[in-house]
Amino acid sequence: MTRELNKWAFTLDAQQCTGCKTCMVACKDKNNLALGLRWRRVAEYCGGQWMPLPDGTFMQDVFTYYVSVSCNHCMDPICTQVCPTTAMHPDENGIVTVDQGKCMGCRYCEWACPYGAPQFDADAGRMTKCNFCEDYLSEGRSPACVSACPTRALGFGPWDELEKDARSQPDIAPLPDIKITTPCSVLVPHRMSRTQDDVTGTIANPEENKDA
Amino acid sequence: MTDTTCPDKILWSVCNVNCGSRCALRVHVKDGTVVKIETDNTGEDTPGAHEIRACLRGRALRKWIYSPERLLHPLKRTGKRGEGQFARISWEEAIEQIATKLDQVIKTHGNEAVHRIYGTGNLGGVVSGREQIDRLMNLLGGQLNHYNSYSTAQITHGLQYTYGVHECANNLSDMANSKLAVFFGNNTAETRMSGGGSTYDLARVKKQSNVRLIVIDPRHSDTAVLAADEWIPIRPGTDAALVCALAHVLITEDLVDQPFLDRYCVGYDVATMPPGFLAGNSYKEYILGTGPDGIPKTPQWASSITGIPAERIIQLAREIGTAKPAYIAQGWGPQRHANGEQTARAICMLPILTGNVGIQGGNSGGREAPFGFAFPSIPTGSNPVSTSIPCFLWTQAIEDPKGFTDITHGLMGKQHLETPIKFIWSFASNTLVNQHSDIRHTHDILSDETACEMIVLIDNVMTSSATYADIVLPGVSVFEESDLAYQGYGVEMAALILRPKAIEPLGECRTLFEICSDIANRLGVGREFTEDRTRDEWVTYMYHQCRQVRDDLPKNFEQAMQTGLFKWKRQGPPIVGLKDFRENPEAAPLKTPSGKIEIFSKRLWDIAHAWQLPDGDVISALPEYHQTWGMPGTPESARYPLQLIGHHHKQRTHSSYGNNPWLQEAAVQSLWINPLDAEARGISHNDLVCVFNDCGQTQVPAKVTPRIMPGVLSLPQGAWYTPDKQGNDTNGSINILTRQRPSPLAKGNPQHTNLVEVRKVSP
Amino acid sequence: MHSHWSLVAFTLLFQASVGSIWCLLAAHFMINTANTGLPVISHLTAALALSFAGMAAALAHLSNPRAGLFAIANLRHSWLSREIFFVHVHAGALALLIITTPIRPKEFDVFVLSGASLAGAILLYSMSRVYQLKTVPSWNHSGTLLSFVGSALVLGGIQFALVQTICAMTSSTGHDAVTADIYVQAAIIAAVSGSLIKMTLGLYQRFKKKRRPAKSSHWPVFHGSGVILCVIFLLLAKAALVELIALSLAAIILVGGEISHRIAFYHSYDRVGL
Repeated sequence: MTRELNKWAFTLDAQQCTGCKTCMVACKDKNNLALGLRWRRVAEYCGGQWMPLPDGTFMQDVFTYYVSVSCNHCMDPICTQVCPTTAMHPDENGIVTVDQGKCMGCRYCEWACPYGAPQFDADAGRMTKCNFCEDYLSEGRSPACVSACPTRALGFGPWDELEKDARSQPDIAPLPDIKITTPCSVLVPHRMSRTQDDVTGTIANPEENKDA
Repeated sequence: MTDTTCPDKILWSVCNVNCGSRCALRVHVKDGTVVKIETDNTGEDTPGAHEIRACLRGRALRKWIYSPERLLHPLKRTGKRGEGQFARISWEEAIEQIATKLDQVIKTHGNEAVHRIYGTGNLGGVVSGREQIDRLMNLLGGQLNHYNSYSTAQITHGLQYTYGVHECANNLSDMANSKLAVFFGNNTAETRMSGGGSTYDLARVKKQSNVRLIVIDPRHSDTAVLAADEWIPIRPGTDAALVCALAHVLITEDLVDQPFLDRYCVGYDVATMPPGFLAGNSYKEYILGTGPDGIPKTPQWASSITGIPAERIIQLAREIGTAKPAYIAQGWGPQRHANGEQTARAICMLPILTGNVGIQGGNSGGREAPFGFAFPSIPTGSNPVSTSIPCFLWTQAIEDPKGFTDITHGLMGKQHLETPIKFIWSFASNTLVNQHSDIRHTHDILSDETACEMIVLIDNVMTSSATYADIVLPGVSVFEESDLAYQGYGVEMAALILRPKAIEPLGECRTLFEICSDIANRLGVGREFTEDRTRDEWVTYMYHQCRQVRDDLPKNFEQAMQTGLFKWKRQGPPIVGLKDFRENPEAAPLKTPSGKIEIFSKRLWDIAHAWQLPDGDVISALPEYHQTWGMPGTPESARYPLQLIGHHHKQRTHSSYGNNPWLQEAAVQSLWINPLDAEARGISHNDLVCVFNDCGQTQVPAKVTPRIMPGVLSLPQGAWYTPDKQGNDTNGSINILTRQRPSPLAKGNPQHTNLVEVRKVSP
Repeated sequence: MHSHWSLVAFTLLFQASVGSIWCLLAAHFMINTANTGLPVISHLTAALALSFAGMAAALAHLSNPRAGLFAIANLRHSWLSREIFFVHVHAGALALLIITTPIRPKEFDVFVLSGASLAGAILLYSMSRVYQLKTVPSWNHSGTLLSFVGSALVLGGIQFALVQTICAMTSSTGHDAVTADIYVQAAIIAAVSGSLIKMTLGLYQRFKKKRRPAKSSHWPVFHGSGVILCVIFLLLAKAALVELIALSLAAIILVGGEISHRIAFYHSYDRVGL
């Protein structure tokens, strides 16, 4: 079996995502994450203009959608490339993992990853990140975030199978250009979604995704 | 870090706060400690047999039960009310003090002076619920009743007059049979977030049918994000004006269902007016401007009121008038206003005018109907006191009992209140301060210790209300007692969850049953209270009562406890509200006096003439639009030009879990403000701002977002009042800004009717 | 972003060290007779001291310094690994030079110094590549390398000039006027050119049209004043004390400018994506 056949990928039907953050909290509970660590995050992407009319009414073209992101366990992960110690590495299942013994806590991967996946655990002095709930996978169970999703927007599956089914690759804002890291994830865009080069919207909840 | 990988046991439990859903949890326990919380994982996860997946709040419960603010011992107040100074006392001392005071108040003032105030922090627990206090009080001669809820007072009353019932909606899944769906508010995705309940249902029905959905809301809600094809922003409190204009188009363009109106309704036009009423009082005349006010309710008239361009109103009317069946529904936000009863009734006019009531794929205009079985609650006995107040007016009943009458304050059972409230029970309730309007005024009322003499509060953590209690009792959390829980709001499935005690009570925490038993014993009604059953025996007893409703439940209670979660798929097509009436109005008349849909309500006409209302309050026989206090165009709007509503927030269920750090991190408390309003005030995203009016002020970070319409702010309701030295709030608690003035008819809480101003707090 | 004081110190200290070795090499090429007036050992010792301080700052940046042993495990892919490797090569070369001074024929100095200078250059290049991440557009351009070279010239030049001046003043053969010292003049010119590079870059980045507005912009005030002082020093000063004061002032201002510039650099971090 080639490595790609073993590789797992998350799927997100962004149309079904209400931004509820259950995935994020289920992940925190499963992994006992301290405040500040968000192995899964939900970006609220929002934009549009309001135009007041003379009669006191308004026209608007507001749009909003949510994108739940953890680690995409990329085919070409930038975190493993930049890591000086090789602590950040893909394991035999392609799951990008931090070797806690090798990580020197330089936080360089945190700078590089365009998804904000590697996160610094100040207590341990090491980087931490989504491990795809590898323990659950080995028991034949879904990752905690997937089985938590109230609207069943999140899913997962073998990357080589999903890749063929993928209706669209995640080239929507605020996600980065997929050419940077070749993320192993499949995203069905929201009907209001904007393309990656959009400048009309912004991430509306930065403070919920990352500590200042 | 605790090793969470191999728990000693995994037990069923439930999240039972008041979002109305009730989600199954699987509690992982290791060495007597909860180490992980998972949710339902049973079944194939197909619709009707789907997993009842908890939302983020249920999944964060560990941080709630092990909160540093967790109450572990009985406390007695030592400082002034609200100061939060307490001394630890023994259970014996606490029970003795409560029993002595209760006995004295009853003897001195009568049972009407005792009141368990509204509270829903533990909802859906059967043996663990607030009914234990009612049962105890009924054995002791009763207590002052309340009616209404803080959720639905206005719609419940309003729809009673139109339809004779307030629960008369179709299932949400019936949207799949509709050609168009229109939601007024109805923010399922943030109010009923369960992955087994309404949000699951809405996501599924939209995905399955892709029915066109229009959401009308001042805020681009997450429901709009999930399912709306179009969002029409509207000024708060003006839904009735929009409906009037839509009706105007429907009538003038002949898009109304005249045969339906003729056969099923009273008061649409002169032909169906009740006898004795002169021309000019019908709905059609009101809309066309031939009624007493002489104003045609044209789209142009409504556009400046609602903020919606007239062309859009005309288009919407045509869309509604030509799509049949249409699923027109309202949530509970539009009605939580000073004119909420009228708004609730007005929205129902759209399905009535278009004949969408009582048909598959249609709806009555109410909120989606849930599905479930009528499982029993514990017998509370009967209350010898018949006097009942609207739950929102308990402060009035302390402050001014003499002025509390049937025609001014909706008092039931008596014409005048004879005694003020002297003793308050507050169980799992933050209504005492946080969820009640006008916190500063409530503070003043409660500060007078000679008015309400005793406040006994039972909760899990030191809430802002708890700081006002005289005796604070540590209640067990949901994981520390066994109980049953019935299905919450869901459409495709009913459920019963049996939960064992997962962990031992923390500290000296006790169950409500134990607390009430001890007081009952002390006051000589111990055996009557327990009926010689232990708490566990009560749980078993109630389970067997459930078996009377569902005989497919196992005979053996222990076996049922092992299974834990029982689900029943709803059979057949989605339920249609008022179906029998639609099929045969003569054989199945409505519970209105005429048996028909009362567009014109003679009962309301009579009430409008009999009741004494403050200036500006209107009760009308027709579902009319009236501007009220707290809206743009009123004198106070010169000083406070912004409307303020308080949407439901992911972080909390009302105020429940408001101190949970994981939830605070996931969903921050912030004031939603449109970029146009923010720019005019020099406010940038995440700036600390002060929201204020004559009631008080609060500080909170700003969320500058186009998702709220200009002129409107939204401050998520339920954040815990955290006063500074002056009593101003520092935590974005909306009720520092709301008023205690009730709505005209229901005497309900108009907590979305507020005018405020906002300014940046200089750093 | 977390606090960057350790990275500010680390990068500046090593850039100073590399720059001063470049000046030393340049000085070597200017020697016509025996290296009169060129205190090689002092220059090398000063550069090595800065390198050690830089390494200490780098260690302080790590939360788990023990795993630092693995820091050069990813030379194949990671520019950070390469940077760390060349940090050690550079410092090692300096140490080697100092240790072998008494036993080494003087003619070899230039070769060994050239080697150390080359290691320093590669170090600077690796250092700039560490920041040229494709996910960080605000850093991912040749301006980062230019800026680091500019810093090396500014800091190295001023360091060299200071060491040279102090040695000259304290030596028994002391000079009357240091301005006469061709080495110092050369070093000052290096510092001035470095400053000009940085000023040009600062102005270019400030006025360049950008899709994403820069998080912080930096006016080259410090460098401008530093350059003026250097010019005053070169043109006007004739008395040793005035020279030293002017040079010290220029040094303080330029180092201050470098620190402030570097802090602004870290603040300009702006990554694509989430």
